[in-house]
Amino acid sequence: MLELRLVQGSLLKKVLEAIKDLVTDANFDCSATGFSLQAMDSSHVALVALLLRSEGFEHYRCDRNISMGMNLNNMSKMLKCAGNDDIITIKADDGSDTVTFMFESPTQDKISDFEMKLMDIDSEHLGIPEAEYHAIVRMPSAEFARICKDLASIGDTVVISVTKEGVKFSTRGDIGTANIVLRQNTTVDKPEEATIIEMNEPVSLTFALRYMNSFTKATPLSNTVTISLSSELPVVVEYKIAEMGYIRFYLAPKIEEDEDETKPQV
Amino acid sequence: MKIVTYNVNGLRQRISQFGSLSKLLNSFDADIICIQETKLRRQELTADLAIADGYESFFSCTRTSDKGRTGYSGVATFCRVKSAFSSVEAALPIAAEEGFTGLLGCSRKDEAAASVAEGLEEFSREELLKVDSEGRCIITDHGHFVLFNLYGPRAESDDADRIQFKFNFLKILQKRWESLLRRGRRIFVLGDLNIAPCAIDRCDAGPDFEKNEFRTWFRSMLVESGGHFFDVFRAKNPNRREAFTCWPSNTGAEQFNYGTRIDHILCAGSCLHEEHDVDGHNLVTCHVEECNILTEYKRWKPGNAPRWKGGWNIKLEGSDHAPVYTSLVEIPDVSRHSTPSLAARYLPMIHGLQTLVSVFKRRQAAKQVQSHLVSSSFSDENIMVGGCSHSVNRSITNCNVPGTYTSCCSLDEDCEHTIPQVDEQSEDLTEEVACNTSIAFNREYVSSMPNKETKKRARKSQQLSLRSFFQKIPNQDNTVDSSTTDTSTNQPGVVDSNDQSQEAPVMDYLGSSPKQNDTKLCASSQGQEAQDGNCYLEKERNNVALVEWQRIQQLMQNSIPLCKGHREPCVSRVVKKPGPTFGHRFYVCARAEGPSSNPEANCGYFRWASVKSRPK
Repeated sequence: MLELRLVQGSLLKKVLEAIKDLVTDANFDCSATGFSLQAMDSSHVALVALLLRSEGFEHYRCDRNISMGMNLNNMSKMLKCAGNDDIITIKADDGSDTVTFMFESPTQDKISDFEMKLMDIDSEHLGIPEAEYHAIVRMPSAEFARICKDLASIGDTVVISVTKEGVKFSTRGDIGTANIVLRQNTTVDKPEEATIIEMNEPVSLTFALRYMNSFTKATPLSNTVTISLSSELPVVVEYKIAEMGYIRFYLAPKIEEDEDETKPQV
Repeated sequence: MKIVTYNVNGLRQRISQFGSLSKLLNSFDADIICIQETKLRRQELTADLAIADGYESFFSCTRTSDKGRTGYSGVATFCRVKSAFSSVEAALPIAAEEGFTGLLGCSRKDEAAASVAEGLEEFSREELLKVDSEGRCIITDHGHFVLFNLYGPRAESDDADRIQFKFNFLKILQKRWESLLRRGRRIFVLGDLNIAPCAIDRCDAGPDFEKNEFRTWFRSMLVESGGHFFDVFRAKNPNRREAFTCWPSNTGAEQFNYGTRIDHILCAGSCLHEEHDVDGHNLVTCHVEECNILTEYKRWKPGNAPRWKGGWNIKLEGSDHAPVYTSLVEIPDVSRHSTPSLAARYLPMIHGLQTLVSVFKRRQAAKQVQSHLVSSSFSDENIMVGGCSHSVNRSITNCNVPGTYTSCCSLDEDCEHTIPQVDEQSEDLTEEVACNTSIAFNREYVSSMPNKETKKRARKSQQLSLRSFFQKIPNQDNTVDSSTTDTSTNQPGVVDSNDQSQEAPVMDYLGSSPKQNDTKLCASSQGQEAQDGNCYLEKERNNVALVEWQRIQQLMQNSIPLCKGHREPCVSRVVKKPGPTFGHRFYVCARAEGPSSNPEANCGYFRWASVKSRPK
């Protein structure tokens, strides 16, 4: 028996919007500690890890560990039927091949039940190791989204370089080049507007903007984003979800290809 | 005379590939260049896309707003000429027409005056407008022949509406051709017709390939089946196999030349020789020197090799078509004429660009010019009257109708200041008018659509006097353009700043800061171990993480199935066609498609991604 009641139902809606373009099908794992997901994108290049801790739910009952395979597009279709202020409850019986989403309006005068078929999905749980990173940048998530969107109109890849001067996002394309430098800035009125750079070692890595731009679909979940970089490790782009968890995107850096490929053509 | 047809798959993209329109056009070294799939809307036409020094251009853009039909077709014909005015070059059209029904190019107001082209009277106005609404045809009259630049509609075998559309398109087109041939005109047809006439023209032609109604129609047009047309490429290369001009980009088929021949050059009519009715004389044998497919032509940006990156990018960059050219010989000059008013140089949006610059020029000219004012505007009027000599009254009233031509007023104003050139020009013009009217040949064509032509002439003569004034502007535009694209894009900073700052932080790292780091980083992760602040331990853990990540990446890679043909990782795709499997993911061989006899080509491996509905 599984019953998870999330008062802030809009969080789940936003989570789905954040990952449904990157991942088509995934297993949601429920345990006593929380509701989580780990999935690869279709080209097996990027990895998504989602965690909603049990404490974040108003009511959390999970008798035994259960894994539910869902098509994220279909799940998103159902969650779109929930109002932004609705309370969402996820229910499943042991051994059932369906999951039920219940939406309650804040005034309790409308209650909807949506039942969705589950799928069997082969997937192996990858134990993602904790690691130290050479550089960690925390910045406003909207700013990061804006940068990725802007750069994608110029080039295909972004070079993220962290030095003690700040963090630089640069790209080059057929029409020219673009460089955006953000300096550490903690003297802001609101803490979420700060740009904080922790650096142990300068680092410069290249990533496909296509992926970065699909990561930024998570922007509505959090005002800030944390980007952790290390030269040998995949980058982690993390959005905190209220007080209850996170969504993390992992992407391996691109190995610099021939100069020719990025050189502008005349 | 060299004529080329090329489906560019986006004119803007091909221009950026070459740096400028001039460079793109010059790469063909041809006199007439027919381009299809410009993918430009009319309002997007600007001087850098439409005007190149030494070429006259004629555009047809899609006019429909039907869903999925906007901004994908569009054709353009570029004619290389030494002079656009009072020239005897055959490459410079005597007349030009957008669409092939005769109904386009008339503004709404005088719709009644718009005349259906001869031979098409049996069709309803709606039918005719529909086939011409997608920017699929430009006709240019080069005196000796009429040249059709065509982009034939594509119709999926299960799309009844489009099949009907394609059918109407070809039927009406055929009537127009027949009407011209009856007048004794010669016809050249160039373009992407989206029809491969015979089994030899298609890589994987099945036994019923030639039974298709469109392919049957195509063959019925050819001389071999009693029609009028020669398929020029086939006439010159009768038995050549695997001569393809288009390769589907979503399968990478060009790698194995697994394509189809749908870009054609057709011609009909007698040769230009006096003894043209003698046996063995025809357009192809007498005037076509060669005809071939430019398979080596650079259709995409160089350096982006390999093109087919294992199918990750389904849409290949560049054009999916190869250009086809033909060389004609013994095409004599024609009588003196000027570029028709359909030319892109007269488009209001291109004029608009130029009038801005003209403000500066005018300021300089104004001082010297005042005294000539009267005489010049007078001569201008003369030209207008001369140009419309058949029906002076009507053309003048037409001139006054604003119609599509918006910049009239400002242009008139400009006229008053262009004195020296205007005078010169007007002399040429009257001469030109005389020539034009004295040639029966020419007039005959004109008479097939009298209203439109006279109106156009009136308009032309009004604008002509300005031409010399503005002639230089497009050039300036072009040079500016190329210089900006040439700007080198070296990227300093990244490397430099790294080098400089590398020293300091490393020192830091070994010296004072590890402790700080640890507390900071490990507060979030594993507090216990980090307490001792041991550098080695930390390194150790990072190594573990590194190894762990390598394992994960290996796992991620390995979880992609291998195809059975080459034991290579597959690519995953999602079903896009509506139906019971819509949205399902599957894996296929990543290689480019090719003949099944070739083991290097796509092995046809297919597997649904391991997702199934739970059994009840």
